[in-house]
Amino acid sequence: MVPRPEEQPGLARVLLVEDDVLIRLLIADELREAGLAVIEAASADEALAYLGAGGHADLVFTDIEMPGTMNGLEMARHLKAWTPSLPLIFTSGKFMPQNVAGLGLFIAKPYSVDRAVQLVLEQLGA
Amino acid sequence: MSRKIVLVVEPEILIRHPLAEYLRECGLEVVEAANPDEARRIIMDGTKTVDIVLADVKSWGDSGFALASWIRTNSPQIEVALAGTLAKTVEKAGELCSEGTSLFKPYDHQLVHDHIRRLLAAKERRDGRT
Repeated sequence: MVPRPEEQPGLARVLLVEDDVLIRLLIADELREAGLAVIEAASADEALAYLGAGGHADLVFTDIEMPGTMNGLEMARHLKAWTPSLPLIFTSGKFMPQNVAGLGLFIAKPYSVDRAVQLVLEQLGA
Repeated sequence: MSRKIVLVVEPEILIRHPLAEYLRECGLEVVEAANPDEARRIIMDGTKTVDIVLADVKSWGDSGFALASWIRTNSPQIEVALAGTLAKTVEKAGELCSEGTSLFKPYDHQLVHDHIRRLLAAKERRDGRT
């Protein structure tokens, strides 16, 4: 189990999966500013390690192209098998919206940080 | 007064995330890096003025020792705290840290916070003299 001193009641939790640390940092900051709790993962493997250990997320915002044993789409298929209702938002500079059809929403890179945060909030019903 | 910024460098998300959240709850601004390369990018980018780096001595692909040496050369104003599991490596880590002490893993979150507070206090005293 993931140790949970970090549980903050009432805060929706976003699992942010992005291998570019500067993009991850920027988005994580803005999501926290928007009142969300953010779990930062540098790869799909890290994200699955977190969730597999009992970590909770209300939404996953993920890049598609990442180093490691799987990309964001492959990770999403695992997540959908575990939790079909988990909202997913994908981003990529190479893949297209049709690549994520049936899995979640898509926002193309480069994207506006404000737009990304707005999309997350909309999906969370915040 | 702006919040102090701690850069946590740790390859294991199950260790990094709970520690980062604990330190945030203590009022620090925390930036997370999964490896030393990410840490260097954050420091070189300069968007965040990092006060303290907390790193595992054995991180992926590069060691925390190398990161500490790089910081000493390139950003000597940043304090470094290294952590390890073996007494010998922790002792060696202490030689690279300005306060001469380092941390044992697994992390005791309270001890880490106390250590960071001591480093920040020492940094402020030193900065006040210069």
